[in-house]
Amino acid sequence: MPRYMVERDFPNGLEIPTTQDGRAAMLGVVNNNATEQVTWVQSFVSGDKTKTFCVYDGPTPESIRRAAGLSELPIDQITEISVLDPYFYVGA
Amino acid sequence: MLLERDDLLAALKEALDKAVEGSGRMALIAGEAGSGKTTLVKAFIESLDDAALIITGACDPLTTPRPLSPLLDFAANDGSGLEGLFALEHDNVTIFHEVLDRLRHSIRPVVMVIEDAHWADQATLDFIRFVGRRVADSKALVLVTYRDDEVGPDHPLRSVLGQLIPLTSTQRLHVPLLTVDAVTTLAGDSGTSPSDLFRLTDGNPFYVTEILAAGESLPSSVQDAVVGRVARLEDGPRKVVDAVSIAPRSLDIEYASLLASGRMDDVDIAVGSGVLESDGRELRFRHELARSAVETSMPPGRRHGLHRTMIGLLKEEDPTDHARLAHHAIKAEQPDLIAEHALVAAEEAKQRGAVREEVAFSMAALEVADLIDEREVADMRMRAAESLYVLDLIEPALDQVKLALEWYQREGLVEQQAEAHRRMSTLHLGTGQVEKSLAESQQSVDLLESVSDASSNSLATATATLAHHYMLRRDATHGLPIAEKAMEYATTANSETTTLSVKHTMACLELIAGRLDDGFTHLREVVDQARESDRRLHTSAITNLGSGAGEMRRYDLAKEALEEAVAWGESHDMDGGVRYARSWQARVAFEQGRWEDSVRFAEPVINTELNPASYSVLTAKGVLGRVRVRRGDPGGKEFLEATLEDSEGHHLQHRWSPASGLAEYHWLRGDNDSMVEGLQSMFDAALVADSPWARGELGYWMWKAGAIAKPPADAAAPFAHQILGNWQQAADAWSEIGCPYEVALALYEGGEVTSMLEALKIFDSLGAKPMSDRTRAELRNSGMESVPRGPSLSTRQNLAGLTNRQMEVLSLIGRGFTNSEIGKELFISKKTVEHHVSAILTKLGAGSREEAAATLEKMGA
Repeated sequence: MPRYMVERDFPNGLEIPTTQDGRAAMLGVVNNNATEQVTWVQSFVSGDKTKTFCVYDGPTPESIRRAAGLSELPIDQITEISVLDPYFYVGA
Repeated sequence: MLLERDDLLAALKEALDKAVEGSGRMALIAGEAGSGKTTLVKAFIESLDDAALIITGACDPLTTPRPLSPLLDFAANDGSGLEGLFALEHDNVTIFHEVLDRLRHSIRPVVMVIEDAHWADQATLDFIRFVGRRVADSKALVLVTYRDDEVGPDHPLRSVLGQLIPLTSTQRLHVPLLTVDAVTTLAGDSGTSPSDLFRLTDGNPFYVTEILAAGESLPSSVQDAVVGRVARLEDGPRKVVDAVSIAPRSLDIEYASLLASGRMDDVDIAVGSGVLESDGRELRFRHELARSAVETSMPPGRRHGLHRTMIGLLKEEDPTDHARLAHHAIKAEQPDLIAEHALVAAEEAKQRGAVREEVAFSMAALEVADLIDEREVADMRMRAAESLYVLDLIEPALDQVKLALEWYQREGLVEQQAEAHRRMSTLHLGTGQVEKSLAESQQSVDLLESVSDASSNSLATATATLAHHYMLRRDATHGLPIAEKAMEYATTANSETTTLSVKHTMACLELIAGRLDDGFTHLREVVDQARESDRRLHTSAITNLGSGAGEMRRYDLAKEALEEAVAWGESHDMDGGVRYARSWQARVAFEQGRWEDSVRFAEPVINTELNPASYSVLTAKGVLGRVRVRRGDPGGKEFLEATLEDSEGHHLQHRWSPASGLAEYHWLRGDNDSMVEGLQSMFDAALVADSPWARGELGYWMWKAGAIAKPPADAAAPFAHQILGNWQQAADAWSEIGCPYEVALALYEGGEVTSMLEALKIFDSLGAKPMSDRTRAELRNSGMESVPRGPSLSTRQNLAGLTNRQMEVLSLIGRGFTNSEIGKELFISKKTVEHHVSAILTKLGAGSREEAAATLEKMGA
């Protein structure tokens, strides 16, 4: 399955509380993703929390978009990515 | 894919929630073999995501089960805390208590699973009863799965269930079979007919999966399961079972007895064993899968004998039931009887429009072709080819026509040869051999015109086909005179069907020639007139009306006709037609800026079609590629390049949209050389075709690439306006037609701040990221300081942020509204407004309305 970097903008700032609400929000996203066979691998968040860089596995960019739509998540840009490991070149 | 199990998963989740609160539960999960009990449990466990400790065990399907098999599994579960369960030689009760203690003293909630309790040994049954009675005061959820159809009144599990079910801590869940909808979803793109799959499996998920996994024939594992059960019967009842197995649905009890031993006792025993069911009149298997498993396990001699006897019985009852007779003839492997009945059955199926069945019967008859009259065989091949074409099986169809043509040539039958050439011309189109196709069509006309006694009807049909090919080439100049000639032949022939078919071609050519109103009116007339008399023509006409209107960007007309085409095709097994109409729905939605709809239409076409060069796939893939390019998503270029490669040799009409899309991709990256390289030959082809929209769009991108300076002659008006720099006129024209992206492109080309701002709004609303970015950058470069941000600001909800409603309330707060004013403005009560306000303050961490309004301002909304 291809891997994608999904960039999202949160102009209001993204705040996920470590409470039941936060848990429910995460679970909701994960469940919505599952209906599109999309897996949220992990995300990186900018310092001011207005932008996220999310690594996703999914069958197509369209499935990523549909999954985002279900969770009402914005999408700025989807890029197909692969791994570059510096230590592969440098030697560990 | 887990379908139709949401309620059960929710029930399990609720049970676990109760357990977590300290009132432990036991859930008894029942369902027939293969209904998906294990799958359900697995999905539930996966959904927990490590929120609980999972301990699993299963009972063995052995003649003599291992005692406490599930508990042995528990001990082997890493991290279960029960690793030492069997280390000391404790008695059962001590072991049970150890397990119970583990459940009671675990800090984390525990989910304990015992699978397949219908196979449980006595000790395990004791354990289930033991834990079931004590689970209430633990934080555990114990899941017990079993096959309820195998737990009869005498089954040892029954009494355990009887003792547990009344307890309030016990709950029962039943895993039902799947509905037709779910089976259809599962069948997906496998090529297996969902209705056949459902009939064969009753929606049993395991059987469905097995069959899909195994392909067309019955998988041996399911077969083995059924056959093993029958093998345990005595000879007499077994013969009854065998007899019933040769009847596709059910068998009259009298017949069953005649086919078997003749003793009614044996029937009773067979029913009593549970292998067969009886309604007092007929016998049937509990499951179709069981029936066919038994049938195929019989020695061939015995099976053939039963089918032969069955044919005798049926013939006495109804000698005209050819479909059933053919079925038994095929099963009995009796060539003479197959020839006799399959041939008639195929014709009957064709008459009812059952295309699949017709092909199946025809192929069966052709297997024994040497027993059938040669002329009949050749004609049948021609008929079969027609149906194979409808089912999108082009190569097999070509094979049949070629064989028929050989025979017609040997016999010197000119009209039939001409018809075979005509048929081949159509089939060659399917594989993108347009020149071959035109040549075959021409040959068919030439053959008929070379003899003096060709019928006007044949001449009309052949000439109309030739005109049709010119229509496909978008060549009205040659096509219209040929169509007029065809109409003369048809009038002489005085054949309504032929006249209608010629009218169809003529109407399409009128569209090509730019006489749109005539063309659309006449096409609609053909659609209506052919509905009853000629299904094939009706399908073609309605689809052409849809795609023709789409190509001319008459979207309302196109949408209506395409919806009609889909509905019609779906109810008449015309799969190819449905897919083509869907691909055009995708194209129309794309051009109208409804990109999500477009994807929704295009994806299933791409996923269910086997032939990548079919027009449906070419159209759908081209559309999906263009959506990706305009959204800035990955994979667009790849899709468009693949589409152009796969459509090599096909007509311009299937190629100019993806070629334009690829040019647009290169343009967005500033690569003009690649643009021209891809466009030039297609643009040249458009210049000699009667296709204003192809000329317009290809010409537009040629102009963008700097390869031409003026619009080509007869280019569609909005594109011509753009090329001439009349951007406002172009935008107005596009707006009238209903193409928002094109409107925005024209406004963007206007280059004025106001028009570019307007363009930006449209690009943003479409999600056209590359053009949004470009427009924003150019506005900034032109000195504009506060270029508006994207739509995500106000219309999207973020995870911990505000809902759309809360944003509305907040913006009114920002404008100084009081709560009651906000309530009036939004038509909600003051109380509701208060709720919203307090939620907003909490979420923004603001101490007052003023602070919240300030935050809003900071966000730039």
